[in-house]
Amino acid sequence: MAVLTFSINPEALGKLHDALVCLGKFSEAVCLEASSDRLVLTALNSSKSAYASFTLLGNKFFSKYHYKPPRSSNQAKEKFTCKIYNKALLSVFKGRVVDPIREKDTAIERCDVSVEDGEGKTRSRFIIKIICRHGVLKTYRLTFESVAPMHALFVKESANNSWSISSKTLREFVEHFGPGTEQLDIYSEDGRVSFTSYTEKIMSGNEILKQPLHTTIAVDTLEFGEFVVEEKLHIVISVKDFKSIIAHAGIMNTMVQALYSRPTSPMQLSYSEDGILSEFILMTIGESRGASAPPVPNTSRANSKRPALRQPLEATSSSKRATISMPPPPTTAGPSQGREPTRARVSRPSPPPPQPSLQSEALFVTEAEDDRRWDPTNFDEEEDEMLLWDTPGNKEPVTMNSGHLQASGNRNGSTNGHSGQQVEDGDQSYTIPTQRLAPTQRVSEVCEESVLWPSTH
Amino acid sequence: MRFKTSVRNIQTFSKLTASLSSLGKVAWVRLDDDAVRFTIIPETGTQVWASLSIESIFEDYTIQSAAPNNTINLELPLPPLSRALKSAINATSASIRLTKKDGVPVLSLTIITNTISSGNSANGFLNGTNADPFGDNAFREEALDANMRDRETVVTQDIPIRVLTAVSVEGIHEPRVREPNAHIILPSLIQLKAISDRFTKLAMATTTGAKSGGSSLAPKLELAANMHGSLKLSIATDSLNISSVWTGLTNPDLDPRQIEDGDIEDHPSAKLKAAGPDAWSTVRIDGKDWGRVLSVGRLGGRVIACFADEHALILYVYLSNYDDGADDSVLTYYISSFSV
Repeated sequence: MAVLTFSINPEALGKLHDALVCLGKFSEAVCLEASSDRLVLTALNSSKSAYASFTLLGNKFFSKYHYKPPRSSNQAKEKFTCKIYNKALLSVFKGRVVDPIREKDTAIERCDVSVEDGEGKTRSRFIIKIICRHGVLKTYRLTFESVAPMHALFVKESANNSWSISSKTLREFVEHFGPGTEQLDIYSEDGRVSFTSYTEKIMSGNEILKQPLHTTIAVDTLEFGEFVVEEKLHIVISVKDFKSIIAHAGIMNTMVQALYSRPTSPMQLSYSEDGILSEFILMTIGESRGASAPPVPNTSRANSKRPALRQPLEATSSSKRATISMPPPPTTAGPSQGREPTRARVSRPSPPPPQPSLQSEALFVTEAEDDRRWDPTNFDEEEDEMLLWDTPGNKEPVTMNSGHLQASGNRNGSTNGHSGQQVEDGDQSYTIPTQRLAPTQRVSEVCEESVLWPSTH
Repeated sequence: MRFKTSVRNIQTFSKLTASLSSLGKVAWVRLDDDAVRFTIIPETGTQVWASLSIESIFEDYTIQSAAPNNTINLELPLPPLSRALKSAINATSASIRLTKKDGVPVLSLTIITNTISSGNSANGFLNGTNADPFGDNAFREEALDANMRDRETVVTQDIPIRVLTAVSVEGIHEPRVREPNAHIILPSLIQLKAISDRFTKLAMATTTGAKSGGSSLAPKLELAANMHGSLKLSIATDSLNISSVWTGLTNPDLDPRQIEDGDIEDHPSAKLKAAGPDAWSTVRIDGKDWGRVLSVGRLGGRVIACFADEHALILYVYLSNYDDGADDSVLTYYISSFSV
């Protein structure tokens, strides 16, 4: 019995993929919550300092949407919730963004999803059917875990600071930030707003040259659609989370709205387009480096941190009182990680730049005036090279025709790795196991939990 | 100690940085009254000594220090500089100054970008419908009200540096190489780079197929020139042997004033020339390192390669394409030859 069925057209499928990519930057699991008129996808990061949610409106985003509440014993449930390993979803939707030129023959016409939650012998599965041209049908059955998602709370009424700005403008800002910084400070004074990307790490000796780029962008408040913010207030968030959000928002042409109150209280960033409401809640770090910040006392200790800055966040995440802030969640969350590993990851440089444009089939490069062609060739990376018939690292489950490796290349990240894969028998079905999740449970077996975060006892 | 300058040619500076950073992550920068010098000395591989006239990249240049000639020596990480200069590509103006932030010395790059905006530039809503009927912004509209002028975005990029003492750098000298046997103007570097990279890749593919893994032995390219306008690039492995030959290149004349002995007839290149077109001067170079060296092609300079047979290859990259010698900006690459 299908609890939930919906259909997505190719364009919306691309948007769903974008949303999943964004959620994947916060957590490896994505929580789904279906109700009669909407499907909400959420992710909470392991340090509970950032929360992302995408609300897909039933009548606007989907071409068909039907939610049939499962009847558990007496009363119908209002919501169906589950958790799926994000990579499983991404590998199903991977590269299936619309690319009409390359994928004339294998273009997706529709995607049907149904969620079955077992009563009796029925298995609980998340079934995705991708209907392509020429009658090719691909079916994926994913397992899921039935858990109630955790939602971060944000009290709009107490947020006295707000601004909104074009997502394109924010994307331009983010492009100035170099890799390796941790914090983003937002500050305004006298009609100028500054965004500062920095790190608290203090290096010494030769290490000092590894200090990441410290970047400040100062703009006029007129750049903003709306700007109502307390003067001289420093508000600090994680620059990595901000980049993850803007990487998604920047794809669209929309206005991003920020709402916040004071340091150590959450900030909300939201925007919407075409039936998707995107909302993020980020923890802000307390008492920031202002003019009053003490000068660096002693640079002899490498990697030392200014404790005054770190502490408020720690205090907040272990706080028992606050309901508007983010209290520690119950143990149902995914693999728990401490803050420090997360921090360590933040300071990792961003992924390597795109491949040089030299790997063309032709001996000589194309005419494109691209400065990157001068970059040194990375010989250590396996590429889709005419020399190799097959790339060793690229194990496709079904590869009828390895020639597509040449044709598609890997010059842009959205290239469809499956583009050459045409299955003649029309119905190809395999299950992608979701890792690290417990076996599927029936919804009826799960006691109903509050969807809001329970306060700790 | 003071240093402040405007960046006159952001593109050139940015390309120079990108080329240098392919060979090393940290540069020794020497600034003085007359020139700007970037030196890269990696642990292994090619050294670069780049000397630029101040006006080739900077203007309004102010420098002041206690050292003779107002010299300032810095150790500068190139990836952050490269990243910082990216912010300046579309800038109205960019300037650099030496300063301290939180007690740490930095090169602070200030980039000012003026955006011409009619109406609210937070234009998320209107972009689609409010397109310019002429398809471009050829006519810049200005508001009557003087307060509605251009909006200014100021980006500040602080690059961490170390200020070096004169003593710590006085022992570093440019390598001395014996007089070359052949000198030749290289063909199009993008062509040379594409073929070199292809050869290197072929060699890697065929050797890793035969032997198990040994990737520490990077393929060696053999590069040879004669004094009759030919350049030969070849590679040999157990399973293949390929070469590519360019002909009709120019062997520039030597300037007699620059020859140490003063006698141009005794110069090794004269002897090689006399030996005819079948006499080659050869060097063996690391394929991957050579690919990184050739990334200097993005600067579009003229490149003269000097071959000291079985010893070293020196590339002189002249940034200006004028022959009058007014701009004496040159990048010198020292590449050692491997023995057989």
